[in-house]
Parts: sequence; structure tokens; C-alpha cells
Amino acid sequence: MGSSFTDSPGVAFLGAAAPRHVAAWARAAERAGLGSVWLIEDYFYPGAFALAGAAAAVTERVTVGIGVVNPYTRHPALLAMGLAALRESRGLGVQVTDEGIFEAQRALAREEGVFVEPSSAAALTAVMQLVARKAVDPEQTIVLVLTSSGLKDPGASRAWLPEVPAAGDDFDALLGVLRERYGLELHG
Amino acid sequence: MVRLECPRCGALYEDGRLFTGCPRCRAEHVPVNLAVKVDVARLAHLATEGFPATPRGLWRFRALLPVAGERPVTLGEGATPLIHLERVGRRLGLPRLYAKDESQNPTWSYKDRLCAVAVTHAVETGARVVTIASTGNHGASTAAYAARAGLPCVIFTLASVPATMKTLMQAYGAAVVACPTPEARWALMRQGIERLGWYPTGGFQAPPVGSNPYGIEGYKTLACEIAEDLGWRAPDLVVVPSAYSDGLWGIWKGMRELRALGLVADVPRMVAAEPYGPLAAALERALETPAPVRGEGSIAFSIATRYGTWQGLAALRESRGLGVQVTDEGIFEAQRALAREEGVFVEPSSAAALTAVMQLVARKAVDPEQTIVLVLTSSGLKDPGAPRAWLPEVPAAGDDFDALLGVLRERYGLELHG
Repeated sequence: MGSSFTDSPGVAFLGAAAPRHVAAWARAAERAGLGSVWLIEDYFYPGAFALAGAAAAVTERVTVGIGVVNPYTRHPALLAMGLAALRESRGLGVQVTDEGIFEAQRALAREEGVFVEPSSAAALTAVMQLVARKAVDPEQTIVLVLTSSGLKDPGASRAWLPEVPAAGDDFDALLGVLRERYGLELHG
Repeated sequence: MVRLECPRCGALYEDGRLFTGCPRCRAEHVPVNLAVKVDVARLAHLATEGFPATPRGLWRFRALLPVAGERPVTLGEGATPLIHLERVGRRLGLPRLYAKDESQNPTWSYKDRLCAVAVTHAVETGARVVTIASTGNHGASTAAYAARAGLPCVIFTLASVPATMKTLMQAYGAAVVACPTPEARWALMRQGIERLGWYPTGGFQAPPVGSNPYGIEGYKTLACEIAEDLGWRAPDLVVVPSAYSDGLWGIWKGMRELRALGLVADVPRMVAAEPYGPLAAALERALETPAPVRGEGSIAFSIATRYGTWQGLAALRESRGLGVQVTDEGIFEAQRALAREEGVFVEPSSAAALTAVMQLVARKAVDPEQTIVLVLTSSGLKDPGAPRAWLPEVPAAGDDFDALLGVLRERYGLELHG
């Protein structure tokens, strides 16, 4: 939840119909380019915290706000608990480039021994971007769903793979090839 | 202290780096691979419940493996399904025909069982570089486990290496170099091992003696999983596509150890499926050790070799098994049957296991009541070009639904209207 909700127009949802429509309305608001979505909490209206969770779950960018919460009828601990849950419930969409995908595919194969197709590597690309933006807490447990095997599209990785060099005529020549072509210093 | 034992002469060795077979038998011109000596008395307490449920896969059976395995180099290998081939089995009159689908391993072949154990042994013994001579599954698997262990990997291959295999090995970060001949690769590899202490996961001498004996112990877990999935009973037949018979021998060794520990009552007969048939020929001619046979090319490139090994032949003899020579035509028929009738797509070399069974059925050499397990060693995705020999072009769907029904009828023999 950013602090930019004053930068662009927003929309507030209230009334008995809000629970049924909140997900669709929040998505539509985001698609329409609005900057914020507000859930109104007042007596005998549907509770804003549950609605905010639903809105956050189906949107990526739009700011979700609660306006307003009555601090006298809601215990401060409950208020903190609700906000903590909302802060963590927002999923993210991360756009990835081919370059970033190759980087991730290479890292998974070379550093972990896991060879997946480019579409699957995109999951790691997304995490790499989030790390670069400092958008992930290092203490978090993160699971990448690697959807399919690299064997489905072996041609794709050829973009970052070298030709196979000749081994050379003797062992010293081989060590030279390994050094020059693969950066391996293996002598003695 | 893990000791190596010669299965032929019984000599025991304490040198952990004997990767070229039994020196004593070699002096008699009989190449024999060494095998890890398992102390059955020390394991006598093992019960089937003694194998923990987690972590899933190969490392459940670490009590039988020659490594400490406290920090195994693992990608989740093993725990592959034993699939009941009901449709193919019904057609062949074999109601208890099963496939152990090893294409579901991390690099899509059963070599991962060997490489997980071998590379763990490499790390535990302080190796700094891993090496292999390979044009296929063994190289790809070695590269992956070396990557997992964070060790450099040098792979000697041939210019003729299939594009998919080359891609796999290099993707995992191995330094892949090409040699003009198999003998040239082995000569260079040997120098890396002898001069710089590189750790080999496969063999490097002519005539071939077999792979790293510690890694071969990993294949014993195939015996464990098969027996466990059958209610701790050995099947009657285990059919393994074989070249130098690392897998065949490892499974046989595992079955024997399970019997010695009282975990299964019987052992299976082992069957080798081989394109050129060196083991079948050696049995037929009652040779003590296999002699090279003729071979003029096979679609089953992973196992097409003119050489058999002493221990492969020994596994067949000791188990009263047999070798079955298979043709390309028979392999395609089996590959097609597995894919179309069972939904299991394997590489031609793997399909050879079913081809062998089809031949035995035609010769009336199997009892229909027997439980038969085919070891399907690797995925069809390793060589997607091979099945093109039996696959049609994709036809256009047609302009409307009636045209589509016509296309489905004419091109695929499907009668789907109303």
C-alpha cells in the first residue's frame, strides 16, 4: 500500500452489494487507470477489512485504502492484525524480459542443476526483479513453481550456449581449451 | 571404510580410487568392474520398516549406499512410479506387466541414481573436478549433479553428440569438449584423473569395464523401490536396456542384497535388451567373458555397443536370465505402444525393454502368470526426432465441423460422428 493515493482519482465502494462485487469492481478500477480503491467502514455496512483483502488479492497496482476505521470500537491489536494481514495479502504481477528469462534459466541450470523451459524460468526472473527493487523481505520463504522441463524447448537455450570446442591434441592443449573457452583454471 | 571387491576373483581393495576394474583380472586379460563390498552382517538388523518414509526417493535407502550421505548431492532423484501396463499387457497376454518409469528423474534418466551417489562420493572424498566421457544421458546427469555440488565438470564428447544432449550438458554449465574418437576421449580423461585427481562418474578404458562402482550402488535403489512397490517381493523378470550393464548389474546386486538381508524371499531373472547382442551371443556361445559382436547402427544410440561386460554377463548367468537382441523396427513398435496405449513416452533405448518382452512372448518364452518389470531408462524428449519415423504430418482441421470429422476419419481412422 503506497502513499500515492492522492496522485490520481480513486473510487469508494459502499453498501450491501459491495461484498458480491468488490473483486470485479476493484479490477475494473485498476484497468480504468484509477489510483485508489476505498472501502468504507461504518455501522451496519459490510466490514471493510474483509473487502480490502478481496480487492488486494485480485489487483496488482491500485492502492487499496480503508476509509475510515473507528478507533474506539476496534481494539488497537485487532487493527494492527488486520493491517498486517492486508499488507501481506497483495500479490504482484511482474513483467519479465527475454534477457531476464535467459539469465534465470542459466542460473537454475548452472548453479542448481535444474533445467527448465524459459516460461518456467520466468518465475525466478520475477524474484530477481523483486530483489533488485528491494520488494522482498529476505526472511520470507519463497516457492518458485517451475512448470515444465527445458527439454520441451532445447533450442531456446542455444542462445546462451557456446559451440563445443575441440579438446585439443594432448592434455596441455586440453587445459588451454578449458581455460580459454570455459574460464576454468584446472592445472595443478 | 568402504572396500571394493572383484565379483570374479573375490580380491578386496582398499584404494578408494580404483575406477578401472580389478587389476588382477585385467592381468589375465579379463576386464571386470569392481563392486562395493557390502557387509550384510552389519546390516542384518535392517527391516523394511527401517527405510524412512522421508526424504522421498533414493536417499531413503542410504543404509545400503557407500556414502555417509549426511549432506547428499540431490535433485530429488528416485521414487519414480511403477506403472501397471494394463493395455499393452492385455494385448500380450501378460496381466502383470509393469514399467518402472525412470524418465521421471531430475535429468529424465535413471543415470541420476548413479550420479547422485557418485557425486556425493566425490564431494565426501574431496574431489575438486568431476569428469565423464559421454554423448548422452550419463553426461547430462553428471553435469547436473556437478552443478548441484558446485564442482566444475569436464565432459569429453564426440562431434556426433546429439544436439539435445549437447544442450543439456552445456546448460548445466559443464565444460564440454569434442574428441575425434572414443579412445581419444578416454586417453585425455585418464590424464585428468591420474595427474590432477579429477573424479570420473563413468568408465574410460578400452575394452569398456563399466562405470564408477560407487555410483553403480545407486542403481540398487531401483531394486528397493520395485520390491517395495510389489509388497516387498521381487518380480519374476526385470528387463533392462543394456550397454555396459551398469544398471542391470546394479539392480541385480541390489536384489541379491535384499535377499541376503531377508527383505525379499526370491530374486528375479534379469533380462538384458541389447541392439547388437553381445551378452546374448556370449550366453549362446558359453563364453566366460563377452566378445565384441558386429553392429551397424541402431536407433537406440544410448545402448548401441558391440561390447558387453563381464559383470553384465555374470548377472544374467547368476539369475538364470537372458540377453535379447532387438531391432529398430521392434523398438519403434514398442515405443509407439508405450506412448499410444499407456501414455508413457520414452526414448528408443528404453522402449527396447518392451521390445525384448514382445520377442519373448512371440517365442513363448514367458509364463503369462509372471510379474515382469521393464526399466524404462530415459525420456522420449531426449531424442524427439526418433519417433518422426512413425508419426504423420499434422493435417489442416478443415473449414467446418463436418470437414473436421472427415479429416479425423481419413487421417486418424476416428469415426466420431453422432
